[in-house]
Amino acid sequence: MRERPRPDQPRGNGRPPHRGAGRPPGDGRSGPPRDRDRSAERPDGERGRPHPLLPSTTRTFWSSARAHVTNPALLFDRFAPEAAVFGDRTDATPRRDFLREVIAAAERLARSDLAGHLLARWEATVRAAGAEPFSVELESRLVTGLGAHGPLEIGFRFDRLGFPVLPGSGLKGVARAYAHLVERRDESEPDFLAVFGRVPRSGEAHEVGQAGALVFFDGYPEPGWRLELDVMTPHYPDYYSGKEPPTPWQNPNPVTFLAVAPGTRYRIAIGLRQGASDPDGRLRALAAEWLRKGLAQLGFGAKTTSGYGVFRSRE
Amino acid sequence: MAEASALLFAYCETPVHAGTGRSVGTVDLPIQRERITGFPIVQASSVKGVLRAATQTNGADAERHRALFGPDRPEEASAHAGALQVTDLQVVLFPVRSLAGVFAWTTSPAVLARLGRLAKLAGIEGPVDPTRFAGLQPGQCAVANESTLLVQAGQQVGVVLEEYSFTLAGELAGLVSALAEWLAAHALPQAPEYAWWRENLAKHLCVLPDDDFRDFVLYATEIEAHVRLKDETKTVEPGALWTTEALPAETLLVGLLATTRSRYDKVNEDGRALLGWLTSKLDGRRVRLGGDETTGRGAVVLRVARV
Repeated sequence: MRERPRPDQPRGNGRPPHRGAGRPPGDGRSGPPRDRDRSAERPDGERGRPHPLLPSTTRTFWSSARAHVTNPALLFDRFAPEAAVFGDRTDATPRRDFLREVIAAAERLARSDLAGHLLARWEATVRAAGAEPFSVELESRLVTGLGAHGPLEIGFRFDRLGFPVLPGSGLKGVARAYAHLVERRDESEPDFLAVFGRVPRSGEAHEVGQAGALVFFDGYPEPGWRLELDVMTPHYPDYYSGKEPPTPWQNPNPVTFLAVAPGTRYRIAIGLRQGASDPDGRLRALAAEWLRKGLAQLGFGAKTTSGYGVFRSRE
Repeated sequence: MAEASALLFAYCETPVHAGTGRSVGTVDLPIQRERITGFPIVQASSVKGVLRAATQTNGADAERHRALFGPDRPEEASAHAGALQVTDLQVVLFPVRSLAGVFAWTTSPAVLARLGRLAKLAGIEGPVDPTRFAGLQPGQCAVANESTLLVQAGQQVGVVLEEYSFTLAGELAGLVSALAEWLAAHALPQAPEYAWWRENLAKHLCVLPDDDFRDFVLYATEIEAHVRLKDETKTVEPGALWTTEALPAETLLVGLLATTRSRYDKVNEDGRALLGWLTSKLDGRRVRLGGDETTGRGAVVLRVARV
């Protein structure tokens, strides 16, 4: 029998969440609501129950097809079970089980024909843009898109077909940050300006803006990529939200999330913008160098200060 | 009056952001859409600009290029008009995530009717009679017999796209196969790396009722959140969080190219010859369309289909 929630103790189960679903934890604004661990009291069947807002026929199809799904992105965004979304937040089990299903779907996708053909087409696309693709290998886990809106409180960056791509805008940002922070270059240098372009700052004339000469394509994972389950456990949620001192009676709050496994290799490509000129490939080589070093020294994605997202360069 | 015309297909290899630059909606930088239907488009002026830039040449061809696109320099703009007419690109196939088979290329009777109309203008026999899909009821879809999109639950067979399920209109399966065959032959790129796409189009093709298709093209486009970080602090700059909308990769677009006789006095060629030259320059070509090019957006492959 289910216990009725006491009025003084907000309980998530079966109700809308009490905070912004897409907000990443640790942003200092609020901690997860506290609750006693009730996982033992909940009947098992309830755990896998699909999201209550799913249309009923979809639920029927879902329950029979869930073992064969090959699109991890669709699973992750649309099919989180009720207990993982609204359930008791101190009980990580439903969310963990659900993320394992997502990981299994990603494995099926990584093994599919489509994965190989997509990568082959990606090579053709970037070579047509004058890029010489190269590979980088993840040394630690990688997490991107943590703040993306979704049914779970922690997001993940999938592309439409479910591949964990490295967005081109992020790669461009890492190369730029490396050139600026480590090599101390800025827009007064012609090479830096040519590679990254610039946006006029407020007060500047519109004419000073220019587009970068290079194209940073999305990085694609090579066959053999994997996702993994990771966990962070804030021990003093109320302390982090500024409500209480770090008292020993606060419930540790395990938060499971997805990460790209170390050892996963990515194909990276830097091409030429239409109409831009780089006849000897010097700019592209320079940008590739900045990007390689940036990926190795600054890292890519979220939580780089905790050692996530570090790459080693490989020929 | 156009002397010659051809279908121009553009297959999106990366997300395409042909933007409007502003919005009052929930997305900061939305894509161009047709006002009446809400279907995504790429405006003809952007398309023509890309075609002009992609075919720019020297020598004798430079004169032909000018005859097609009009004078390069604005001060000569009143000398003569270009011989080329370009229409907006409109959606033919829109990819939607599927519970089975990773994704579906969706289309609808209205979309196919327009494709047929354009094909007729280009003198090509259209794919299928779109009125035969008119019987599709809301909540129904048509797929080929060998489709990989099918999911089964007991006696029920259906297709689940995003979180919506569709039942099958079984008698239309043959028509979907014919449509896939036509698209593979006329619309998809012919390069070797597209062999898988041409062979598997039928297995992923799904014809939806117009209303359902409209909902997907309105609400299932690619929405990306962007931030700009301050290099020194690695925190977000004030106000530098924005969302952009893009047509997802694997979208297929179509438009019409039409040419008249050259109006440029140094080139005396008819529309057929000019279109033939343009086709040889564009068919199979990879160009980039729309915004955010430097972060890898807008890579498309062109295909020109003509008789």
